[in-house]
Amino acid sequence: MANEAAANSALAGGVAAAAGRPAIVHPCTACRQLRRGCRPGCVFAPCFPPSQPNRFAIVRRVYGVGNVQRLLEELPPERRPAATDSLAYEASMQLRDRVFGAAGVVSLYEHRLHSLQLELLCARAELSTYECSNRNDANRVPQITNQKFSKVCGGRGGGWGDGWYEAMRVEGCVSEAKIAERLAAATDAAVVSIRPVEDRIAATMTATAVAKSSNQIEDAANNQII
Amino acid sequence: MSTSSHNSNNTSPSPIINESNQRRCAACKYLRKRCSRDCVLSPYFPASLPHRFACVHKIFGASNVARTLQQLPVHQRAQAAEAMSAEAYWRVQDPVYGSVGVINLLQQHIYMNQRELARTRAHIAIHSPTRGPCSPWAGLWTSPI
Repeated sequence: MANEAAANSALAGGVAAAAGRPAIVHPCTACRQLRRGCRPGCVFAPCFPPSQPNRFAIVRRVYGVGNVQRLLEELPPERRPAATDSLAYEASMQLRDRVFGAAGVVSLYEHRLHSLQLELLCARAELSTYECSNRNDANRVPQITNQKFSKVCGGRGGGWGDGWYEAMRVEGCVSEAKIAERLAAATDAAVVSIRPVEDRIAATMTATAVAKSSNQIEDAANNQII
Repeated sequence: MSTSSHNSNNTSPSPIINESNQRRCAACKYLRKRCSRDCVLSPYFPASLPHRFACVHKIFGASNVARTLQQLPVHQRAQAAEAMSAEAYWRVQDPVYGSVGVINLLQQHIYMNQRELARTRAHIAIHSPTRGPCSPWAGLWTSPI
């Protein structure tokens, strides 16, 4: 759509020039906001279509016209739309959160990934205990307390309930020492509260190709702004 | 006295100028200007990290950074400068996607870990004693999943 607008403006100029009249080139969104003439080879024209007038405004406000122009000119023409999409997203996040901007989103995802990895580690440790108990089928006296186990695996209600653990301890059919050893080795000193993240991640995860679709970037930016 | 003044003109630059040059932050050193005492960028772009301001200046521009920091409360400026430095660094590393590429990569890792966690929990459910037909613990507790 943006390419068509640029092509139409160039075509209109060419037709008018052929007819002897002065060429009328409709400026692109960026040049209109900058109140300057739009040259045929304007780098902004393909990247900032008329359907999104606020896009150039926020990019200009955060990065500046000169910086944006230089960034786009350093890229091949086929990569400029994707770069513009990412710049628009970062600028919208910067306006939404003046302190952290897009880096805050990265930090949030890093934290979620870390907690998810810890949860996976605990799950793997638990699975290994089941596999060991199935193989050995040994009955040993419990050695550790429920408190240590719940501290390692988090305070989730219902999932790692005290009733389940107490029942297994009473029966003595699972080596608590083995559980504690494996979990302690898995989580080390990270006595953290592990929370389920699936619901929140599912609500905030976008599609895989975020930066490859201008519509997705724009929707994400609009949703974040709203 | 004139001799002493003349002699002072032929000696090395005055210690005051040398001292101000040594106190210049990375921003003022990069921009080749004098670093004043109330320079808004000096606390966050020390001279020991010249590459940091170079990235920020290349992407945002010194004036944009200074204006952004001036608009924020003092206690938030350090975090804002850190965030802008990170975004500029990611943009320099990946001129097309910048921090969006980092976000996309993190999403992929999260998705992979979710799948692995779901698979591990499925294995746990299989090995759980409650599912066994002859489990001696059947009925004693609720399923942990």
